[in-house]
Amino acid sequence: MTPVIRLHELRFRWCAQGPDILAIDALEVSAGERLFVEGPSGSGKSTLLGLLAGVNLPQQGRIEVLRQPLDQLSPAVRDRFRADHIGYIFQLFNLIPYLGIIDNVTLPARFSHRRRQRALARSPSLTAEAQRLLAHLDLDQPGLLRQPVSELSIGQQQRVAAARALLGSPELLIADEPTSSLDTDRRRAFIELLFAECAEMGSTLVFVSHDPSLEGLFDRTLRLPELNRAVHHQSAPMQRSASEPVVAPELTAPSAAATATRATAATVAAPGMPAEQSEQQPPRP
Amino acid sequence: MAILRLALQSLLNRRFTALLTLLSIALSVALLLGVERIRTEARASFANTLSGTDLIVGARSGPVQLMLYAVFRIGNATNNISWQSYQEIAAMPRVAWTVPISLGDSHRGFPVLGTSSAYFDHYRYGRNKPLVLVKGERFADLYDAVLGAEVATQLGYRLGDEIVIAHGAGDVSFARHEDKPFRVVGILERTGTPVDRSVHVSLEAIEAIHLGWEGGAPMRGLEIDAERARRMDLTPKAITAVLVGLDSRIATFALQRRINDYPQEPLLAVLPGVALSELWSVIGLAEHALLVVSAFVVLVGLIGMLTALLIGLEGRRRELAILRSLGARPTQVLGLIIGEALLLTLLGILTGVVLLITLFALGQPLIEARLGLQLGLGLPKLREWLLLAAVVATGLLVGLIPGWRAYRISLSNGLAVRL
Ligand SMILES: Nc1ncnc2c1ncn2[C@@H]1O[C@H](COP(=O)(O)OP(=O)(O)OP(=O)(O)O)[C@@H](O)[C@H]1O
Ligand SMILES: [Mg+2]
Repeated sequence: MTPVIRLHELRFRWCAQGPDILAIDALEVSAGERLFVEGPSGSGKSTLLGLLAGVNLPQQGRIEVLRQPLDQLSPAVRDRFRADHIGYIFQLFNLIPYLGIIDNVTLPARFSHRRRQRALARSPSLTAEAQRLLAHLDLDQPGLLRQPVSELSIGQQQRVAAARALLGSPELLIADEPTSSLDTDRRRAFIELLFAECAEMGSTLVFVSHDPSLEGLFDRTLRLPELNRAVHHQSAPMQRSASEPVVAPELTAPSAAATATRATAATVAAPGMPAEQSEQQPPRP
Repeated sequence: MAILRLALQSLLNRRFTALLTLLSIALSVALLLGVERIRTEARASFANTLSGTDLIVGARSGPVQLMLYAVFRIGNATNNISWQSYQEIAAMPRVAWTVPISLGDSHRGFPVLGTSSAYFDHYRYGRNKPLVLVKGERFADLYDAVLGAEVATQLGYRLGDEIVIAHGAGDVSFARHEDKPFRVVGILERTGTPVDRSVHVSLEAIEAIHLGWEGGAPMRGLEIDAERARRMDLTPKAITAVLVGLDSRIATFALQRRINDYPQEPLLAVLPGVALSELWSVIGLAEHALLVVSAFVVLVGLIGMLTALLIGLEGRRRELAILRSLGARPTQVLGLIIGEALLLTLLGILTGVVLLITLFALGQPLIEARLGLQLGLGLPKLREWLLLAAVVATGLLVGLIPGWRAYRISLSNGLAVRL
């Protein structure tokens, strides 16, 4: 079975003179897999998701999603690809404030004909499909649907966002810390709902979170700092010479593959490192 | 299309700012269109005042001045034409008709015009329309007067009423020709020209009321009563201007030269069209200044929209990232913001046009009474459409600025939202 996601020798940096944020030699995610991605703040988790969604492009290497070489597609085709095949959930503030709940959930169908068709294959109308998904997520109280989205609780907003990401059954679901603002009980319930929907539609799930307690629910865990050979994020606050390789505490006990390439990673990261870099990448609060 | 609907929903969400922006655009568009419409209506009504007349003749002054006082009753003649000269002009070859005009007196602010009955035969306005009496008839008796429509309605005169003519143009002239009252014998149909605001009497009547007024005021002991005046020689000694019609247009320039070179008296003959276009070149400057100012007002309105959209953008980075995550292309993000600018501009224009038409409909009676202007209430005409198109184009251009910013944001930030 071909993997849904395949990365090869990937390098990404935000600005041309800056340091590499991501340097991943290989990563594969198979169809239907539920992948848990963890890593400290600033380690490039969101950046990786942006690459998977085809919003940003790597400077080097290959990135294949659903057998599409994203790095070789034109921007317009990548946008179309994302609209057709990817459901995305943000950490917070997922909803368009001026649209109602139903309009927010059916929004993907405005950008993708394919997802509209797939949604209509399951329900007689887009609204009906939205209501079906919302009902699965316990959001079918009639009073609720007429409420402006800004008046929903954070947990309700996150569930609406999940319903939107699921509409039209995209093959790949990407969630960037969607549970960080939920309490423990709701967090679990939210994830179980997400799993159920993914299983029903056969979607693959890539889920970023800081919360180690969720890890056990997933098929596999990806520790980004172990995989990522770009080590910039630990370097920012430190003073050192450009030639001196930096080894971050998290990297002291990494996998064998990472150890083998450590030297290369350091040289890749080194040139762009001097003083000005600490201003470009201030430590995150 | 989906994007335009989003733009509309986004605007509806920000009703209050959107409404304010829309209102400022509407007001500025109403101003721009108003200026344009009044300008063209004024031109049209000026151009419609006189037709069928080939030459206007008066004492030597400027062509515009002659045109203004002889046709529009604006300003005063500096000099008169002698009756002798008038007779000779009337007898010149190719002259088909002449209408003598004698101005200088007034009735309660309305100018009194002495003329012959040729006036009713040959005066034409608009598209060669003759004057029509709605009531009564032309003046026949010495003390008969025919009123323009506006004089009659505004002062409430009916046939048979008596009116007294004042010496000079003053509204409350203390020198009145009270000894020789006139009787209203006819009322003209409304023409939309200065004729509506004139009181018409015969040249002889003008002569009669000034008997004994040679010094500009009645001389004691020399008063001549109305009945005695009838028996005196009332041939005018001088008139203010003459309207001349020719049998052939080709003769116009030859005759004009002949009158301008008239040896006995310094005279001036002008072609109404030429004088009118000279008038435009004078007024045109002010007109254009006005139009430019109102165009700037529209620009200010649109810049208000620019500010509103740009400020709004800061709070919408999150929204842009969401749209991107849903597969919106950066050009669609650009389209969303430009769509908002377009909708605001279009709705602003619509509101502005409705506002203007309402305003004109309400102000119509007043404007017509005061200025003799008939403001069209119809939909915009070609030139106005062009102006509106220019406003839309500018609105789009202005929308391009925040649109471009949104485009940049959505390209560089991708899905990473920095608040
Ligand atoms: N749009 C951007 N432009 C420039 N640099 C960026 C941009 N987005 C992220 N970065 C930088 O890339 C690095 C990784 O950021 P990223 O958002 O991927 O971290 P993260 O692992 O998601 O962190 P968190 O857990 O706090 O969300 C950081 O150093 C950040 O400053
Ligand atoms: Mg992140």
